[in-house]
Amino acid sequence: MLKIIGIVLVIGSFTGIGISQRQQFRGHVMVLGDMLSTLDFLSSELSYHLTSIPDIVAKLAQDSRPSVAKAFGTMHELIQRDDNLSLAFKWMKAFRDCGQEIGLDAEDIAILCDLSEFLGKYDAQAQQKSIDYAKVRLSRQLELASAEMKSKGNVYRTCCVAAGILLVLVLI
Amino acid sequence: MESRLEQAAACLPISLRQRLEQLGGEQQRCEEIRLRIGQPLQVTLGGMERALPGSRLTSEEIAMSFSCAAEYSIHTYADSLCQGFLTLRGGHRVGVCGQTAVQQGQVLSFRCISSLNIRIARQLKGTASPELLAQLWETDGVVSGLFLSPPGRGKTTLLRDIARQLSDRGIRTALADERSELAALHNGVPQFDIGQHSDVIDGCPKAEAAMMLVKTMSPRLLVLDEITSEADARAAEYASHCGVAVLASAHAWNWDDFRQRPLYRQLLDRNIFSRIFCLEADRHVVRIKPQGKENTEC
Repeated sequence: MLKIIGIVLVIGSFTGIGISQRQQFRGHVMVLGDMLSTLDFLSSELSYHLTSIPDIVAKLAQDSRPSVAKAFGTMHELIQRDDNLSLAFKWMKAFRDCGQEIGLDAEDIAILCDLSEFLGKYDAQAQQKSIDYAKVRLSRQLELASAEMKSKGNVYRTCCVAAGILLVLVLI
Repeated sequence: MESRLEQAAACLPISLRQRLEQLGGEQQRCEEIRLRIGQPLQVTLGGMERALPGSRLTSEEIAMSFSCAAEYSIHTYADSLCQGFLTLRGGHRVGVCGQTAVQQGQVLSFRCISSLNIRIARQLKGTASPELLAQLWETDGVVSGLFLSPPGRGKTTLLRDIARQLSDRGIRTALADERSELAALHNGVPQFDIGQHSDVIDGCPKAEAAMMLVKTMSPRLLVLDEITSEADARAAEYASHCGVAVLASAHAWNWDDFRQRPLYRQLLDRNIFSRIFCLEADRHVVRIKPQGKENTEC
């Protein structure tokens, strides 16, 4: 009986490790999707309502998606602070501080930080172009992340299950 | 710091705000905050500019104040910036000067900012006296009135107070608030008391806002701050033909100055306003009467 429980525990925990690795890839894909739709929202608010950037950030801070709420909630808090620091700095700081926590990699963070050079500084059309460019770059990141999830995700899951079985066989 | 001054000064760097605290008891009298590159921070008290002790302003301080005033969002204020101003939350108007970028005769943007003038908007309830309100009232309701004065004598404050009082008496009032100074909407909420029966269109050109208000809100009174163009005059005429009383203001030193200006001569020819008032330097309101009759103070 103890042997069976041990076998189940070993295989289960290795499978868990494999699945959590796959989830990380999946999470990266999802957060990139969230950021792309956030850029769509930003773009619409800029072009249709001419909403100010702090107001857009405040709206996004209330978003139901945890990754968006986390990044823009942090940014909203930074903007509320009375400290003479520029919006561009606060935009970059928010993504640098919590980008990895929400599942973005260094390249994604760099793309989003690059936007700060344009946001709020030019007319809506010019900002629109910079957002479109960021969307193209993020879409490419999304394609890479999806491919990575399909290839490496499955490999991690299968390898971990196999490692669990192997360990069980060795121990038996 | 006094609340209105604090709200208006919120766009300034912390070091400049600290200088304003030196005003002490005079904070409530502060009418304007003026920032000019290479000059000390100045405030206007009783129409006179006074420099506050401290270092001379740098271009970075002015640029920082401008960015903050524009909420780091030039696109939001692009239209008003082309006219040389933007309006802060709370209805405080910021005049902007500097090097402009012009394309095909149209101002695109400001490349460099050299000076800013923050005019502190205050609501003075009771500015419109009962005598003045009586002058705007006839047996069948409110009549159209035009208020003349040079800048800074309180036309907007007076119009806002008349609108508030008449609205609270049950007159359905519509405000075409192009510069966000009459009601100063923020998230749809008026920052000034404009009465219980008032509707506002904010940030839209006066003429278009007036048409929309007359067509959709069926007001009995339409308030237009500063008639400055032929389109504004046409909108006032349209509203008046629809049976809506129009309260408006115009820049003029006095009655003679007003009559000399071509746009205002057309306005007079259209017979839109049955009452014309002049705001004197001491902020008294004087009703201009047709030739042969004596002007009366309200």
